[in-house]
Amino acid sequence: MTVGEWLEWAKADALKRELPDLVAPLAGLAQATERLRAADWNDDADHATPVVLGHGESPQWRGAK
Amino acid sequence: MTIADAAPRLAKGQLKSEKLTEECLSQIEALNPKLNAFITVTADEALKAARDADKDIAGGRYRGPLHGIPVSLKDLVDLKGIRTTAGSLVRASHVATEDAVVTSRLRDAGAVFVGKTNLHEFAFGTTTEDSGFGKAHHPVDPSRSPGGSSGGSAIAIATGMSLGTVGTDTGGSIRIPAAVCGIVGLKPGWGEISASGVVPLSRQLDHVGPLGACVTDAWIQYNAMLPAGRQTTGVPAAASLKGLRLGVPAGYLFDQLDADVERVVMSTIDTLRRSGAIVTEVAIPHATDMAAIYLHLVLGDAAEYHARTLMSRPQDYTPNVRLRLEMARYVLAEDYVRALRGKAVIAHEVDRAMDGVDALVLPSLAIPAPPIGAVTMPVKGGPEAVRTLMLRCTQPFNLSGHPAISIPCGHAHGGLPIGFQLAGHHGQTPALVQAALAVERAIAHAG
Repeated sequence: MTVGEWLEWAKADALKRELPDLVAPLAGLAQATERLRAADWNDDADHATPVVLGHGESPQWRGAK
Repeated sequence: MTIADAAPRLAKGQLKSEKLTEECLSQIEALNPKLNAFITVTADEALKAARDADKDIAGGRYRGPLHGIPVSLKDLVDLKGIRTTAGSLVRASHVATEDAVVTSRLRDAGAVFVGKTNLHEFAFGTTTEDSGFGKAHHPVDPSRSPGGSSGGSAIAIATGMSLGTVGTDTGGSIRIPAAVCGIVGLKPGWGEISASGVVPLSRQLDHVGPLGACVTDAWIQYNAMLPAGRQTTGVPAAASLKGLRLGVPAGYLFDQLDADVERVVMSTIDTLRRSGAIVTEVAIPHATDMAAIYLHLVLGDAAEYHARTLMSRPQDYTPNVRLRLEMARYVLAEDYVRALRGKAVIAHEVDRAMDGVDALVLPSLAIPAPPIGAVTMPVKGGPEAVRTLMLRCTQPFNLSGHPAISIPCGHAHGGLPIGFQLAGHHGQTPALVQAALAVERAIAHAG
């Protein structure tokens, strides 16, 4: 699900559980999740370059130097 | 008095542990009502242990520099027979049946335990404002936070309520209160000091370590916390500043600093440069992703640990911590896994930043002690959330697991302390301490 979809679901669930004070923090978490998902080190199933992270290996990701 | 001062006098019988312990207990009695550094004071047990220490030392059974030294434990760390509350009513009646491993090692070294210090509930915060046992207060300005989550431990050292203390550090919780209270806080490398018998926040990010009045005191305690086979005698010699290679991770970690913090930290770097250190700029390219990575990991881990009690007794958490734990339960597994990958990226980039340098140097904390209740603080670029600012400079080395230490380097307005942070190579905490000793000396001379 997109972050927007997640946030709508989470807010609705928080309100159903009578936790309205949770709505603002969830919005803050959503911003952080957007940032996390936008990072260029994320794996993508249709990306051509293999991304490997192994103990002792140099991790490779798009943009790695 | 420092451990470094007291230890040789105790060893020679010029000072008695009972007297030293009585002085610490008097400080606790005088100051704790105002500062709320301690949740539990173990006065009777401490005095008995102190008298035993004096008897052993007089009988030629001196164990080393911690023998007879009054030490406190952050109330996440088990002390046999004493409650471990984690700063929460959730654990108000929990009594430890065994010492934590770190407690046991300090006990073997002859430490005298004076009590359990206050903390941000379950270590889930950086200000020690949210505790089931009341907020703690800054020793210089009680209207301000002492930092956290090991706030009580930092107050104890800063005010002489104990000469040593054990804290924990998941995103900065040893280094932040050390910086805020003007003392030294050492976060060893991940896994160096056992976390067995310590209430967790995030097991992959939690570190156990000491706070002390000076780098030598931090070393003495750190050494005693190590497994017996890895302990050494004496204190490592300070490194020479001439030719010491220091990397400054410019960019994100220096972008949003209080004006006084920036001025004092840059002045300290300049002092080191003039003393012969070779200072170069280094990069942590994905530093701007660290906050998001850290948040998803710590939330995911905390959600697992608190799942049952959040459902069965939510009212026993402080409101702010409860809210964060409730939020934690909404983190999706796919985002947690993304954050795990990001953690590996940051670890790699910190390693790369350390290529060719002996230590990284940066502020410990972007701001001086915030007022209790503050939501934002003014920094370069405009006001920012306190929570984000408190963790900004310390969390890289929780993600990467490198050892890091905060030492005092000056003061901001109102006499509020500022901390200078050094981070070292994996597995080389002794070398980091040697660099820190040199920097501490240079700061004192520049003083």
